[in-house]
Amino acid sequence: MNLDLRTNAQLQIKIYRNIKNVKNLKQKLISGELKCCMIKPSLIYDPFQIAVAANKALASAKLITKTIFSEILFNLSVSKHITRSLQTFGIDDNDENILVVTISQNGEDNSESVYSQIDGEEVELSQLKNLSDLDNIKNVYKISEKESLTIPLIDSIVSRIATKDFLSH
Amino acid sequence: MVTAIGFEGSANKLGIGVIRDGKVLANCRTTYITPPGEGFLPKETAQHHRQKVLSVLKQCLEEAGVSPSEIDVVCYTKGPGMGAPLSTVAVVAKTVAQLWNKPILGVNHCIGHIEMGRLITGAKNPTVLYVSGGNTQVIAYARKRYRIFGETIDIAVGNCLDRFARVIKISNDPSPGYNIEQLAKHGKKFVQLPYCVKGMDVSFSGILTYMEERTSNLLRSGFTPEDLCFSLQETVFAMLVETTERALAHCNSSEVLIVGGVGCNVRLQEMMGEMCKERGAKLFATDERFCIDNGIMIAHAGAEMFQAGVRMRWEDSGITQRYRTDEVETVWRVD
Amino acid sequence: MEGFELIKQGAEAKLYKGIYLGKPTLAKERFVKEYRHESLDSFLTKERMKAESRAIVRCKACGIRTPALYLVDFKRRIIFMEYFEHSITLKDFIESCSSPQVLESISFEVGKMLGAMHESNIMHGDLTSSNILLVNRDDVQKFDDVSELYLVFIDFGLAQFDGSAEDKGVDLYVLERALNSTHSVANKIFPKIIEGYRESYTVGCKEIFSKYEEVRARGRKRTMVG
Repeated sequence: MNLDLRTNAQLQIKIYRNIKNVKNLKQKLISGELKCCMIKPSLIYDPFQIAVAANKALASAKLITKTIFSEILFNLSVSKHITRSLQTFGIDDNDENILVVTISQNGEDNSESVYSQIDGEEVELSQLKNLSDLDNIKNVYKISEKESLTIPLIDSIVSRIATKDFLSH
Repeated sequence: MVTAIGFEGSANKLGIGVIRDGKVLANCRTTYITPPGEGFLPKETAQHHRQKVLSVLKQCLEEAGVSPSEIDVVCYTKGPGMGAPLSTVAVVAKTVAQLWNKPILGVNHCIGHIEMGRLITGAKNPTVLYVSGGNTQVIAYARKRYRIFGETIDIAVGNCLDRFARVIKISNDPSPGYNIEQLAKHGKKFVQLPYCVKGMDVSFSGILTYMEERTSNLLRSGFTPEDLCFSLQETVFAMLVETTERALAHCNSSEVLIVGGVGCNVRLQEMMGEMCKERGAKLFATDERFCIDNGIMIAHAGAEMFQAGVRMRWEDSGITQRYRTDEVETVWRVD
Repeated sequence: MEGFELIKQGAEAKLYKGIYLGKPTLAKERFVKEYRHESLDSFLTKERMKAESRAIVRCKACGIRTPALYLVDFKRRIIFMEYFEHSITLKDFIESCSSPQVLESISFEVGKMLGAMHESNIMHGDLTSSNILLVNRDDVQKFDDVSELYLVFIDFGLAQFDGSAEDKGVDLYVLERALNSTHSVANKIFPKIIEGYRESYTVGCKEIFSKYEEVRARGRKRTMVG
């Protein structure tokens, strides 16, 4: 649970394994019925990565994508291409594990209604290190060997997220 | 109690002044003004100084009410500056010193400005912005020297303004900078010009080249000369205030002193004052009597040096076009 | 600023310290400079925020440590970035360091990183000993053992990326002057920095040094032209 600046919002992140109804969940996401963000855990190194992307979404005056949740997915990506970003970070029909992000703002919290629709087993956030695919992450974020030698991975990731809109990565 | 006479002629101003014990007895000056569109060159400038020096000297001694025997030291600008004019004035100073049988002292022009500024304004240990036609430096006193924290890496701001004045053919009377200032007051539209600060240093050749190349186009596309003067001032002065602010922050200082001809500019003083206010620092500036090159500042700095025991051998009494502010050991300062 | 404490008012910006998204954060606010014309002020601020961000990210790509960026807010003119709690500026380190060997080895390291920076065409633009931090690896307030420290470069508002030899020469010149005006041991440190620089920036540094000498000489040879 992280606090976002001035937006009076709080982030809640949960990880689920062995999802049985991923297709159904995906449909509900697209239709807008499920108000949350579902991310591929393999591309997440640390929850802080999501915090930075979500914070950016909440802090910005105008959204580039349709909802705050798609915005988080878009922000996570270094690509300026919306569809590509959503596809890369968002869940697809083959995913067995998902990372769920909900936002409670101004006292409104719909997290429980989201979680009740997931058919899978919740695991501790600390399990993320077993689900992260470091090589893929470095690939997606275009982090070179040289950089990963001295710069902490989370640093490389969030700095790119923070500057994606005006720098090319 | 030291009575000193100072001779200044490193550029187009010829100044002679007499000071006694920190009190200004006389401050006489005459300027070599060229026609609009023209700058001043060493040969003609030296000629001007030669023509005027004796009458200015006479006027100065009369005004001061001082006879040669009462003078303790003859001071002159050793440098930096233009060769021929510097030499011309130095020769007169040396001749006079020998005639009157008085010691001679060569003074650094920039230090003259700084010491005079400190005397007149009472600023104790200010960060100094020295801006003129030939110099642009941000100076702070540290470890027995006036250290140059920031400066122009190409031309001086005054030079930039003077040369722009030639582009739009403004009169050089009383000075191109003054006339730019007056025009700028009526400027309304701001045009974005190249802004160049590199660390604590500034660069003006970029903006000058830009103005030289684009002025006719700008004038054609709806900007008036007033707008251009306004925009140029706002930009170059912002650059100066910024570098001064950096030096202020770095040295943890709370006083700013502006010296040099461009220091007369009221807009620059306003902008610097605004910055000082925001930081809780105090701004000190002098008026045109002391901002613009003058003889009294040479006399004062020389007097300080003399009192601290500095002496100059006749063999060393030359001039030098290149004389860095930090080359001088400030023996007269006890802090 | 809510939740933040003002720690410094530099020339360029106000620095605030606080916890943001659960991490110790530095909020760098480039406040409006009233003395500047409005459009010049907004233009410069945006340019500098962009330049700073670009330099910070590009330094990481060549292995040079810089603060992690959390949020770049152009509207509020604030950059939220990593705050190094247990750090000391190179300036303070030099002034408090009693061992010449330690000073020399740190200077050499600084030079190596500078060389790498320039090789990647990143020109810092404002190199001073206040803009380089030494951070303790183990998160303690201890700076006497060099093996426990790593270097972090900060304050890239004036950074440029054209990669001209002249600009790089100026970068070095600015550093030399900044060191000379602050530290009495400058003449021992700077040559070591250059040594380290040469070691990491092998190809092309000859031209940079000649430009550096040129700019240096200009300072000494400035003649007044009417």
